[in-house]
Amino acid sequence: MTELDELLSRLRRLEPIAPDPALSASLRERGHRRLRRPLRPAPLASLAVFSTVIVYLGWALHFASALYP
Amino acid sequence: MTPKEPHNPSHEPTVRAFCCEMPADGDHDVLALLRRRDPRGFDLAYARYGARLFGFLVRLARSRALAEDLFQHTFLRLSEVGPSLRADSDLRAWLFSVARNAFHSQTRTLRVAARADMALLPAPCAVGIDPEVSLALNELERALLGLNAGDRELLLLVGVEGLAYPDVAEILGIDAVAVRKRVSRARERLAQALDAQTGIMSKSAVRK
Repeated sequence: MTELDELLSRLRRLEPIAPDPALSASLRERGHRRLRRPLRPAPLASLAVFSTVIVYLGWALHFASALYP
Repeated sequence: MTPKEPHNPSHEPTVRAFCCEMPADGDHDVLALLRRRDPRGFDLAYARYGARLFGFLVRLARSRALAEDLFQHTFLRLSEVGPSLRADSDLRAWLFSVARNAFHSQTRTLRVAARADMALLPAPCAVGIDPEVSLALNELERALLGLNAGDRELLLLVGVEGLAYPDVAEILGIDAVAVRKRVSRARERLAQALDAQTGIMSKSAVRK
């Protein structure tokens, strides 16, 4: 073991630091709330899918009406 | 905390006893609960890594206030992303990775030049620790806080948290060989800082 390895083992003796109990309580409560929240589809993704369908239907209608004038 | 323990306003020492170490089979239990959106998964992850992650952030950010913000960000991110984490994910690496990325992003955005807040250091005479050992640990803590963020980050992950080089490489997004080299340089700088500190202390003792 070199002197530097000994240094690393000394670092391992540094204690963890606990967060404030009030912070822990509020964080756990917020975490639980977010975890329980039902999943919502992303609004932008839904809008993108909806507008693609409308554009496609419009194009299909236009194409069909051009076939049979 | 049990009622028999002395009042400890800084909540710093005596924490290790309450920290659950990562079980041998990884965090499958936590990840399974999180996938079912069970709050017990969040609590288990918090119990297992909360104090360790908070200690890492306090020492990295050198500011308790900033560490609290980053800590909240990390665990709230877990509650959002946790249900979609894979069963074989390394939760510890994921948490430390989110925390350190948040720190770097925060310091870049705010251009925070946080000065070392010596008040956050653990009390010199923690309960049940030999005062000499406690003093030596305090010196080590001061020397660590004096290093730059990059060196501090590496020494905290490898030294304090005891993570293996490949795990640190995953967290930092670099390869393990680079981690080994950087850790070696950071360790040398820490040793120099400690030597310098010891020199200053012995000089001040001579003056007295």
